[in-house]
Amino acid sequence: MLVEPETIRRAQAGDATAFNEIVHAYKKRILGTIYRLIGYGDDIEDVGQDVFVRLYFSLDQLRTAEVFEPWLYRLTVNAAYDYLRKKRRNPSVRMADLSEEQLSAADAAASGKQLSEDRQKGDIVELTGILLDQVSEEDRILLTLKEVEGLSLKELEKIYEVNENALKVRLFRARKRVLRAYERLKKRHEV
Amino acid sequence: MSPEQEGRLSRLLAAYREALGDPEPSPQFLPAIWQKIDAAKPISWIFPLKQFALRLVAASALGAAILTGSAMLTPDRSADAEDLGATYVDVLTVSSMDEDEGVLWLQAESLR
Repeated sequence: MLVEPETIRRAQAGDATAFNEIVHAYKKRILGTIYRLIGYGDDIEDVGQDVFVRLYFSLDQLRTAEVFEPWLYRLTVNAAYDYLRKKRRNPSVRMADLSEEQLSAADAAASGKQLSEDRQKGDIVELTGILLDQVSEEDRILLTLKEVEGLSLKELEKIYEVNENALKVRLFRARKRVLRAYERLKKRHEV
Repeated sequence: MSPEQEGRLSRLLAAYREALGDPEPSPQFLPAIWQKIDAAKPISWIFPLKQFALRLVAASALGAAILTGSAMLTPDRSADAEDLGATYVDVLTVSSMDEDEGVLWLQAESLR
């Protein structure tokens, strides 16, 4: 944990300084997670602030300080989910807008080539964001937490409060959908 | 899904992770959180106003109960009020008689 359990208990008792310590310790990690979950930068700070506001008003429901991190992750996931639902973009329109260069950059990355230019990185972000738009918000978040954030199934179990097998099935389906969308995209550009 | 496809997707997602990087929070990040918390809290002047209104209602109920109670305990003086219509001579006459005579005299007077 990035803060002492005592700091969390003080924040639970209404200590504003302790709450500020928590924000300082976790803000970068939370903003990074939100960025990877929603995939674009305009509203990251806003969603991040929303996470900490939710934390402030729900601290009294936290049973023990030891489960603080999965709790904070759950709040982050919920805030990102709400945002994605509100800002739902049309996936098919965005898919049609992709250029040959973007697809080449994605192909290079998928083949394991190192990306050097910022423009190429931008292409990867754009294309992968569109691919992730092809699945539901729930699957997008789960897939991102596992494959992009690098969380283990055990950590996901604590966040989602469901068993490992259910998570595996859901992840398998989400990966399959994203791969199908990727193949469709490649075929469209080959024609 | 072939293992090759699986591998391609994993590499693409890893490249996505690397390309995104970590955003830096702005200096306004924490003050904005407190602004949002304050905006979401119940308005401060509503609470004392609500307390005052509740006390006022309680005091009114207590006042009404006291008034009702005292009205019930006070003897009914409406019968005495009828006597107010009698003349000084009538009252003097009745007081000079004994009780039975007085009642009979009053009944006779009322029949006239």
